[in-house]
Amino acid sequence: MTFLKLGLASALALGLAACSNTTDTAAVDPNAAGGTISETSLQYFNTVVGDRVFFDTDSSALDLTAQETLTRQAQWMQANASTTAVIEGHADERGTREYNIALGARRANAAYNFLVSQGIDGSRLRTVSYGKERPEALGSDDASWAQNRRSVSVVTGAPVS
Amino acid sequence: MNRSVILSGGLHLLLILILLFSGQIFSSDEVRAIQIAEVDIITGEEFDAAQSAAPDAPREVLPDLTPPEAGGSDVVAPDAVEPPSAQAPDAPEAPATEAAETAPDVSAVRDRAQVTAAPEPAQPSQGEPEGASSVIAPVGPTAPETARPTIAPSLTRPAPPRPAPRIADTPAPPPPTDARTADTATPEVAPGETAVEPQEEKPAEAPPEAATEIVPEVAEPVTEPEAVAPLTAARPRGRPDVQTAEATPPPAAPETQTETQTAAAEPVRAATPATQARPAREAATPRPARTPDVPVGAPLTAREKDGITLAVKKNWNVGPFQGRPDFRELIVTVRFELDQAGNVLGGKVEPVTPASPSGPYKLAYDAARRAVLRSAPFRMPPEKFGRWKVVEITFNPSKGIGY
Amino acid sequence: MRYLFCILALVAGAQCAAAQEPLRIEITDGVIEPMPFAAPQFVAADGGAQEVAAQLTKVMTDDLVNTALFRLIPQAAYIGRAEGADATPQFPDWRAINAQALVTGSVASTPDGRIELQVRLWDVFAGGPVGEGLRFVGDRQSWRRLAHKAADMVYSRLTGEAGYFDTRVVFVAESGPKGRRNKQLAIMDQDGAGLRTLTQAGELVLAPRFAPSSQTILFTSYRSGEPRVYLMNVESGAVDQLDRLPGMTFAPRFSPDGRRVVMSLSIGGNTDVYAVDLGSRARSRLTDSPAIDTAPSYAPDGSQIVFESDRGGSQQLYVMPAGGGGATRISFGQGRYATPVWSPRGDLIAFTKMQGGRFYIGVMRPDGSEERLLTASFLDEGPTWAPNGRVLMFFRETGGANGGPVLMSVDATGRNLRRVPITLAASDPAWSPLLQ
Repeated sequence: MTFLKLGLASALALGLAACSNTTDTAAVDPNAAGGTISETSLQYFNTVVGDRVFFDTDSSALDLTAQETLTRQAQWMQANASTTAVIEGHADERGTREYNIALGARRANAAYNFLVSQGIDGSRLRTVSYGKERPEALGSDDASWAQNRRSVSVVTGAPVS
Repeated sequence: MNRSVILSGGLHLLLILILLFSGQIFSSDEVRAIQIAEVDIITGEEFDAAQSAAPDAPREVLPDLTPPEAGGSDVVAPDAVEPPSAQAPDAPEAPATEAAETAPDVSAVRDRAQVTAAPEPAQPSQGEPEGASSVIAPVGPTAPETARPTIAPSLTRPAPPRPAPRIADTPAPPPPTDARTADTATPEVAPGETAVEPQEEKPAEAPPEAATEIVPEVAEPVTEPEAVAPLTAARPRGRPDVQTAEATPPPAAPETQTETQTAAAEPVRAATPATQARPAREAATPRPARTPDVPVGAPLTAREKDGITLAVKKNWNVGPFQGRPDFRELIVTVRFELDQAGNVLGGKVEPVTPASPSGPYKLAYDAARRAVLRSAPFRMPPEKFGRWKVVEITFNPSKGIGY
Repeated sequence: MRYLFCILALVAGAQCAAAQEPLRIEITDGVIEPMPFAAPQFVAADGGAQEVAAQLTKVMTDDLVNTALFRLIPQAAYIGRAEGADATPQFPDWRAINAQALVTGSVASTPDGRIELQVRLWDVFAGGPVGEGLRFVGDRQSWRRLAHKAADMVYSRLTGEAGYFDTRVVFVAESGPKGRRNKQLAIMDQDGAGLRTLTQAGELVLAPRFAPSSQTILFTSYRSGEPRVYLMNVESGAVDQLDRLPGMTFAPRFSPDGRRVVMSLSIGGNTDVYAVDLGSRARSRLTDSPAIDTAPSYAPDGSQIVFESDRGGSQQLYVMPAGGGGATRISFGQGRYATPVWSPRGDLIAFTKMQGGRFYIGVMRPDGSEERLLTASFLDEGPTWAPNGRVLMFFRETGGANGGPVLMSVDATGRNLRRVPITLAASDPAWSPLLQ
């Protein structure tokens, strides 16, 4: 029993230690080592604005984080009026092929509707679903699956960096 | 270092220390109650006493359930099956038989063993309860004793089941010994092996009855099978018709056996469609030539029948078609004849039901035929050849195979 | 004294009558074993047929043995010799090695350069033929089909089911890393022979399906940038888009008469079942709900369609008339049900079930009763029926970054689960009807 307690305690300690990374130390410094990322660039969109939002299992509901990200996307696209985007909906591998295509379509459509509600012209957006065909994370565990349940906005018409 | 890190680390350490040194949080895991079963101690005598509920007691009661004219052969079944121990039931019966002296109506139903034993106590034990002990001695060396092994198997033959036994005070007086030969007349009827045993005793009574009172008794075997639920749906009784037929030409019978048989054949055929459910079968199968020199012997025991049953079971392979959804409905019956060596005559295994199998039934029939042909030659007792010369097997998958 | 004679007569008559009564036995128990059979090498009638005779024999016996319903007695054990399809065998020779069935045949070249196979099936213990002998003629390059047809004959006569060996399977051959799989349409014989790809690398293709004629397949492709349904002629390779109306289309299947295609259409995030008439290419809508309705499959009589829908809150199976209308739910177990496929016999619907983190292939009656699960694993999906409605093929994936799919087959009884003998990673199989 003592070993159990020790084990639990050390696991707890390790787990808590993982939380000690504060966000302060990971601040993105756009001016660090090597030049500026243009705010109109694709890289900026993908890394700063955030090109993707994530979903719960079997769901196409946008949580708060997703809505914030999409809001930033909409703002960026307002600022970069010549850009267009294809919104790709995806699903994790824990479902069947056809249903996952349909689910991905729902997710892409949810992102589309939100962007349109933020003032983006629908003609600048297209939606497509890849179902479970293009996973981002290759593992078969909850963390990987969470990364794969996503809607990604692929922007065209912007400089790369 | 960042102040926040120091603070966080310190608090973490505190938490860890608390967890390590406070036992209460984890203490519940360590307490495991040792389960002790509460057991009473009894002595050996008590244990034996507890076991003293006698399974043997019914055996002793059985002889008292002496049926009157008609019934109760199943009552005497245990006696019939175990010839060596038949002496024991004889012993308590012996005192009863004294009282039975007065009763003229024979329960011809009585066990063979009792038949032979009864005359002895009847003589010496006039009103003497000690006749019981004297029963055993005369029974031993007498001729019927040696005949007992054959008699006992005869009692295992199936026959039309009897009405429920009635308890009579008077045991049956012994029937004439020549009635014994009539035992061999009863045919094999029961297809189900489990049901065979209780029924087999009954036919022992029929022939003796026929021997003592021909005219009235003949009617009984005819009606009894009608009243009895058959073991399977397609199992009519053949025996009673034969008896009916034989009863009709008694005067002509003594001339030749063949004459009797021929005469019996017609009424049997006539009676068959009326009382049997398979006129088609009767018409289809030609009557085999009656050879009086075909040894028939006593009825087959279950173990002897296994000579066919077990062999065929092993070779009945339903593998190729057992996945069919209608598999359990594919019940087929085949008929074949054997020679004295147990080979299938002409390699012919004919379908009985369905008469012309087609579709999935053809598959089942093929498998049945294959099972029979693969199992031949069959090892059967040659002295009873007449009993297994013609065989009908029903292959019934309705209970599922291999599950 | 007279009575004594009566007694004797009765006794004798009874005795003889009894001797004619058959011994009646009921047998309710047997064995389930593969049927041992012998197949001596087909006799080659001429030199041109020599080489192919041995191969034909092997292809036929492999088909039968792989069903696990038959066991081949090796040629080394044979006592008798085969004389070709017409000569009556010496049955005692075959009984001696416990063969229950015997297949004999001969191969010859025809004057026009084709191959002819004559084959006959014998019941060894009954000592006679099982049905008529058959003769098959085919092109040299399609010699395998002759063997498959012979296997179909043996199989159907001994099991009572129609055969399924002269068939093909179309599927998706996969290669490359999990995140960026290369998928190509491929076709092969049901035993894995004759495998060839139908599309190029670089085009994402999914879930091909056979037309009743077996010459055309439907499939979903991303060649235009989004999933759309296309038709392809297997022989010529010609590809045609099914319809050009907006929306994503996928999960197509033919109707039993080959004149209509039923599929899913996704517009504005909503997916419904539509039918397209192949003649006019006109679309008609069969479901109208905000739920996801997809994976439709026709009943073999064309009167009904089974599909999956989450209108009840989770993926379940529903049956509706072929023209659309009221849908009845038929799946009620725990978990989610998907990819329903109606058996060609009409008596069963196969499906994928997901429960407790595992995937299962199962079957149920069209009314939803008698659900039986046949397989279980990390991921089993996408069953397809052999044309006799007794065997299913599906694909199984292992998890993890290096996991990949393989094709598997199983009986509708759940027996004989085996891997399809190809070396490729493969998914989305579809079984053709019996070839003509």
